Amino acid sequence: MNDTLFILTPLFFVALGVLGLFTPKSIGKLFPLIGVALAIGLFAYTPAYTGMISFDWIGIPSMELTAIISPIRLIFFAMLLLTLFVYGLATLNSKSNEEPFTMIAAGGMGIALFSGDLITLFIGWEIMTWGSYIPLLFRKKDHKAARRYLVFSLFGAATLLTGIILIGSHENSFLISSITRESAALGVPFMLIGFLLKSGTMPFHRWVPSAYSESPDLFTGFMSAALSKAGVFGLILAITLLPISETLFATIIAWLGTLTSLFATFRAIREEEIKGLLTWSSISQVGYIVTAVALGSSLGVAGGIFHAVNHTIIKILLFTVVAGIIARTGKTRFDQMGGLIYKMPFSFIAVLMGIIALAGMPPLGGFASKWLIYSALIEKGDVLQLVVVIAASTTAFLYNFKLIYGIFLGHPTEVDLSTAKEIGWGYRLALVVPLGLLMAIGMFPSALFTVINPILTEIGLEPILQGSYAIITTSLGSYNGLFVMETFGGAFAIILALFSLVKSKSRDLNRLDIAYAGETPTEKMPLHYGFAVGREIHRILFVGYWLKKSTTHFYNWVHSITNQFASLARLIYNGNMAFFFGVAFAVALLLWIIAGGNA
Amino acid sequence: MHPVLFIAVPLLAAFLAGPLSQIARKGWLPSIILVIAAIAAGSMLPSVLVQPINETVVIAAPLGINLYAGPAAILLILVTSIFGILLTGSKELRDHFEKSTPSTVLALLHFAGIFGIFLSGDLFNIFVFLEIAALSAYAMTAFSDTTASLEGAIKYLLAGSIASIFLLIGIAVIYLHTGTLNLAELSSTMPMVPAAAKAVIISAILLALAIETELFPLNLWVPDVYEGSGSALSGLFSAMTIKATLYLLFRVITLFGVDQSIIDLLIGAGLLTMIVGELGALRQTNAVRMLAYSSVAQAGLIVAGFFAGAHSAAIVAMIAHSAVKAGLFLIIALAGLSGSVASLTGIGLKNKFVGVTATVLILSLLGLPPFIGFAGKLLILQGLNSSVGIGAVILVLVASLVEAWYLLKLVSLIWKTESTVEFSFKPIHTVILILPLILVIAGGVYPKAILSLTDKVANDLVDIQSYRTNVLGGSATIESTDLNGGTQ
Repeated sequence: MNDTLFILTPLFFVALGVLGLFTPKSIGKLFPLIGVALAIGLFAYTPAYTGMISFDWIGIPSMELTAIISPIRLIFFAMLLLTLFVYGLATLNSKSNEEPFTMIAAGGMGIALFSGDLITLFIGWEIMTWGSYIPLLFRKKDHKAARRYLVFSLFGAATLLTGIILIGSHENSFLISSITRESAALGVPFMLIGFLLKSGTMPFHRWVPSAYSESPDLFTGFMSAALSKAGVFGLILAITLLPISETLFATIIAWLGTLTSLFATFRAIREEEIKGLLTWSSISQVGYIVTAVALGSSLGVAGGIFHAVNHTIIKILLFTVVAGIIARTGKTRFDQMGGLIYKMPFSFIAVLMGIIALAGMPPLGGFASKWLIYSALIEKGDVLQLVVVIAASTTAFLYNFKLIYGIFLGHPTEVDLSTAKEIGWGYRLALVVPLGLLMAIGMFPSALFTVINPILTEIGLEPILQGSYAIITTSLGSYNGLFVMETFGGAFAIILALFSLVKSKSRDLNRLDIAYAGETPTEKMPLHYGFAVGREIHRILFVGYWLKKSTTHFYNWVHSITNQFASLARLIYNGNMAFFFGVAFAVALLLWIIAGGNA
Repeated sequence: MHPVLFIAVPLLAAFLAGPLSQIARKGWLPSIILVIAAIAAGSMLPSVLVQPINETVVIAAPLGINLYAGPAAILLILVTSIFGILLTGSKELRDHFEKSTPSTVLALLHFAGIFGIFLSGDLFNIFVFLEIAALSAYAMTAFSDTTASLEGAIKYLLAGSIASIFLLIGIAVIYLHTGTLNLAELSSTMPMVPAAAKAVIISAILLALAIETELFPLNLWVPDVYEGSGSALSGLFSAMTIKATLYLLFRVITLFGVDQSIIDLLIGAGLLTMIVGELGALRQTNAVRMLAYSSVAQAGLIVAGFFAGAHSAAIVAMIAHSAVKAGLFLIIALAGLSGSVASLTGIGLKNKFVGVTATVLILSLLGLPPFIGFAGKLLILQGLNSSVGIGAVILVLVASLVEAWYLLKLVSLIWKTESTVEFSFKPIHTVILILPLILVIAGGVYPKAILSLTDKVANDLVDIQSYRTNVLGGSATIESTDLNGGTQ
């Protein structure tokens, strides 16, 4: 019985969330941390890597709810716990009050992750969805955002449920382990739409920007870092059920991921809201993951999972810093910031590390996963796709730079530097863990393969054997993370030393120091980096064309068509009783004919 | 315990409404009667699940009047009474009851009619009780004495009369050809009726029942009636009246043993009703009218689900729908009489309990786990998939997206911060919302408890053989098989 307690952790999360609704705010804020402690405690008490528990929920044997533990479930659950931990620490220092719903959403995601059958998966999926919908309700700017989020999610859930029912009725069982190729071929394509939608892959990404921008700032980090991984988990599940790697289907999904990564990057560069930029960046990063997983090869899936781990760490880091900055300054746009490095050195370093990892540059963790994804694409021979992914990845430098420059460097615009303070202690404390993890993964990249290899074995792929923790090896070569880190660290130390030695006394520039076409800029002329950079990206030929394209029109069209049908319905319900009598007699006649009246 | 008391007590109370209202002051009399009915049904249920009670009034079954208290009837009486109390106990209805004794009488007659529909074992009594329930409903619609409510009452009257006429025609033809109106007897004699007559019977009775169960396109009168009768009364119709007529449809159609083409037609009509209902609700600004369309749509889904073979799930959906609609209509009634969507603005922040209840009920109505709506919907979808195909499943899911769009608008409004409306909830008025809330959550977390009941209820509705045995006694089984053998 003891080893099953850990499987029930998601239920404890939901219970904590429900309890949090009835407790004072100050106690409710502790619940995410209590949840994480509980999960870790239960796991430490009886480390379980496999296990199963069933519950007769509805009285029909084929529909028993089953929860199981396996390596892949554990790693995604670990990502959830990490996110929850960082979120839980940071939220102690914030004014938000959505913690109970975060716990419910986390519990739902946990249930979905630990599901041993499709019904449990769906139940967890939906609890996660509505749990994360409610925090969106309390914001005012875009009152349709919450509804749009839930309706889009329900569309995903509807396709998911369609797939589940197709599989369930074909197999007469909903157990994931009993699904055969034939039934998977029936149902998995439907389910995939649900998974892609949750991960925000184009063209199902429409809900993401509004939902992320309307959610409480810290909760956005939770959504991006944890909840989007539910979609990735589903995708991995789907390729396990239906080894799609040889089919056209896989190619389509891989390309969807690739294009998502490219176009979301363009969109991110143009973004003026800080959270908006991170949102599009998140969409684009999940695009890489989808691409990698859809390849279906060992290297691809490993790269996808590795990148998912990195993305969780990076996004919770960046969103938490940004939430802290927004909480301190009250400003949300790049052109309102600037110069904050003087007051927020810690945040600066955190964002710097974050974007180095996000850009996939060595020596931090981000490099390893991008390298794996590139290797997987090369191994597969998808050169065109590789080119697009590399293009997206390189273009991403632009928005990465905007992120750090727009907030921290240049002249402050609307922020009052004399009163600005470093982000709150809770936020700072929270960031230590992801920062440390980024360093650790950078130094020992293949340490993660101790977890990834069992997963590859679990889903029926060849493990990628690694020698030491520092050296990551694939069929295409290897690199030593520790060595790279030492070199970078050494070079950094030397340059810093030289710079400190050589540096003369510096002076801050002001407006009058700038000569701009023979004149000094006036007071009104915007000089800050955040004003202009990226705005003109639509003037680039190809990029501009595609940036104008939007799925919004399509969804607006659906909306208007539905409205027209609604008007049609109201045309029939005209309240005219004479019309009703006519209809009644016509139906009577019809019924009489169908009942065999002319016989 | 005698099932006849379910009918006799409300009727007696109706006759004595004058003096009784002096004892049960402030319009509590109908609620008290419903409490008594609920307690009686609750105490009868365990024994009825094992052995249904067949009570003969005057003389024995084929000729006399019999009341059949099976699991289906008693469970539905229990459920409808419990959720009826929510609305009869609401301030809006109690004001009517307090002001005039006639309105109390009408409500009690309505209950007597509904319980009669659940219990009656022969068609003519069903007709009588349907008339009692419907006539009192017409008059109740006119309670609020506004133009809209009078219009609603007239429309209800006209539509109901059409239904009555056709039902009476059907009954007359049945009696002409079989010489009996007893349902159990009819289940074995219907196959002997000539095809031409059978067509008239089926079409007439189906038309009447389709009007009463608000199936498309025979539900054109429904939104006006609901809107005119106000939120509390609409809740009563949604939670009680339509459940009785749905039961009647299921009971009669199953016992008559109609052709597959009629079953298919009913499934199709159910699905169509659902789609049209959801579309009709989409652009409503009046919350009562919106929920009226939603009730229509849900009834359609329940009909489609039942005839697609998901019998037990359809009963679960009926119970869930009673709970949800009773709660939601009560909340609208509490928020004010105007009933416009805007009158709900910000009530969640005014009173957290009401807000949470409304949100949970709406999520359940959308079929989200872990609420009871999910269990019902999942099983109905499975039934539809196995008997119609995946297309029907997709249709239901698309309809629920439309449903989500308008219901979530309500949720958004409930939690909106800038409230324009001034009102205050008294805790005493809202505390009763705990009933649907508990059912929706407990039933959703552990639906097995409810399904173990509804399985028996569904069996009671579907198993014609044991119905005959229970009503007509042991010998009838053999006799009826003989009859069947003779005609084939």
